[in-house]
Amino acid sequence: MSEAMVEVRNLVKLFKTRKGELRAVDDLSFTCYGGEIFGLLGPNGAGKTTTLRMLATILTPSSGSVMVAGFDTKALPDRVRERIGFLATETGLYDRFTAQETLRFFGRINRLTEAEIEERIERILNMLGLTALAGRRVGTFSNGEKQKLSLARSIIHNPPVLIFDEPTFGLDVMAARAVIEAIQLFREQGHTIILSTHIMQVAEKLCNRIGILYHGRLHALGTLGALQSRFGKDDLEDIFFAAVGGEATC
Amino acid sequence: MWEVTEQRMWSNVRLLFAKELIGALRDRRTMILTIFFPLFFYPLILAVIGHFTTVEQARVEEMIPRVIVVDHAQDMGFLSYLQLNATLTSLFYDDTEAGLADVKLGVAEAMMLLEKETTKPESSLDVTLYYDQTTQAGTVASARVSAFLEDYLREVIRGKLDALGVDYDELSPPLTVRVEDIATSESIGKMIIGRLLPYFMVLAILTGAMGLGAEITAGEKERGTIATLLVSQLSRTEIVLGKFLTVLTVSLVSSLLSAVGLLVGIRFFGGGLAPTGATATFSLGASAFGWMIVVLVPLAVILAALVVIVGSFARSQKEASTYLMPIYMIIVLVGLVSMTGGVSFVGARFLIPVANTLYALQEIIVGTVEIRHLIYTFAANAFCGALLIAASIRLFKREAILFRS
Repeated sequence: MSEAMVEVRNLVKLFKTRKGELRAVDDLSFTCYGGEIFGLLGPNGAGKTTTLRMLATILTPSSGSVMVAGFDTKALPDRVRERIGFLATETGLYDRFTAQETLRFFGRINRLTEAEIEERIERILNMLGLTALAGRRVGTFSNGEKQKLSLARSIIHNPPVLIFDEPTFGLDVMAARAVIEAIQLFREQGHTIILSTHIMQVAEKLCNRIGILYHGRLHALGTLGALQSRFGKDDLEDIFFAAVGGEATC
Repeated sequence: MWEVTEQRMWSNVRLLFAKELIGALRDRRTMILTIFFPLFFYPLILAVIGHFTTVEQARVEEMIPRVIVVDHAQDMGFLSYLQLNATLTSLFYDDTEAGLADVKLGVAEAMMLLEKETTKPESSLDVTLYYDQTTQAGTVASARVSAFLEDYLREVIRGKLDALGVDYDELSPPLTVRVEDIATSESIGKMIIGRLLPYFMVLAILTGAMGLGAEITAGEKERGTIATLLVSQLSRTEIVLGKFLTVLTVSLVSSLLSAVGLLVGIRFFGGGLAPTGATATFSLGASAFGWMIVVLVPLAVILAALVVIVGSFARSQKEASTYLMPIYMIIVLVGLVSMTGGVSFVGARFLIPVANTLYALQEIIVGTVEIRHLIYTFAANAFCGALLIAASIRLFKREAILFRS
């Protein structure tokens, strides 16, 4: 088995709200291995985004530990950030900059040399079919084009681990297909990918292993085949409801 | 090791600063507020104000005020003298209340009530002058009637002396009064610039900071780009410093361009701003302007840091603008007080931020600057600015603030 690239142990995240304490992530543990696509599947409010933000060092765990590419996110967040590419639910792009300028900026802040930046910009834009849009301002892009540029931004520094939060969010079928194909390409290139989604088909198409998350807790974990065997269901949506059992509420 | 880390930090800060500045230059709204508005709007406004002020002054000088006369004295000598006077138009009323009502309505600019004063050995004329000081026409009418009454008094005295065989013109007056204004046109010009320029320059710092600052702080949260920055290899300190420097730069540019626009406007259209009867020449030396920049920078640091703090706390640009309004109002109020010249601002009061800058700038422009005032101003503002920068960095590191929902 490949080495463990992401190790999550007993992860907990608490938020203080007006109504008291919210346990957004509740004793979560899983491992993600090199070269695989690991999917966190769950509805809105399940804790997927919070989990991924803790992996990406944006949020600090209330307790538990996260190791990414061999570094603890709490102790050495700088080292973790050198080794990850992150895609938020929003595209995280600046409308007044061109695609090239965007990638150049993120390449520089990720400490690439100018030669490396230019070489990678050309290669990545070509890989994602964005070469023709290189000199255009991001504000003129379609949603699908923006998402592809966000993917490009996340891999400009060739990080071993990619963290994608709802990568097909808000995209039409064509754009979503293009994003899925890009993510599959990243896996072929050897990146380790953790993604979150609430869309069953995305999890089915992309993920080597799936973790079913609900109310901050992991209810099931395994390959699609293993989950089908365990719950006696073929459809991932049926598997989801079987896994969360009586907890499922609207 | 420390040097490499520090070098890298400032290299990262410069990277973010350059990116934010380019974004600002490409933003039409920022360009309009920071460049177009001060350079073109201020001269335009001053031209319009100057034109209407000049027209109004000319109208007032040529005006022949209407004066209601309520005559309960029947003094034919006074009435004859009044009717010969070409500087007033007399309207004769019987009723005092009706006359006052018409003065309030603007039918006339003033009213004279003529009554016989019978308590003295020789009966004399008792004149009560009514006018409305809230209108310029009323004030002019009051001055003209007072001048007329002085002339009439002189004629009455002349007549009485003639009757006694004394020639009035040969009398040596016991008192001669001459009023000389020692203010030069240059000092009047400096007084006008000193009242206007500091206020607008300080206000422009905040307006320049507010517009862009809310966008690159709270706006990043709204657009969702903040997560991308936080995951990059920029530390939170570097992110805050990069944004702070951008806001500081734009706010100072806004202030400088406001000064240029205002000075151009005053130079060419500011004649109407001079007091009635006075002329003003407008100039500001390069040395004085240089000192003004030195004094303004620490205040710009304070305001830029405040904007970054508020923007980091706010959930949206609109919320940030709402939170910044009280600061804006404080500056407007303090600025308006400084323009009146009615407050004595000396000594330790120069430790109060914002106010200290306004009065220090006034002193520099007028040429009455005291070095200790400049030292107090710079030190107090630099200290507050440093504290606020530290606070902004601390705040930006707090998850509860950055991800308020």
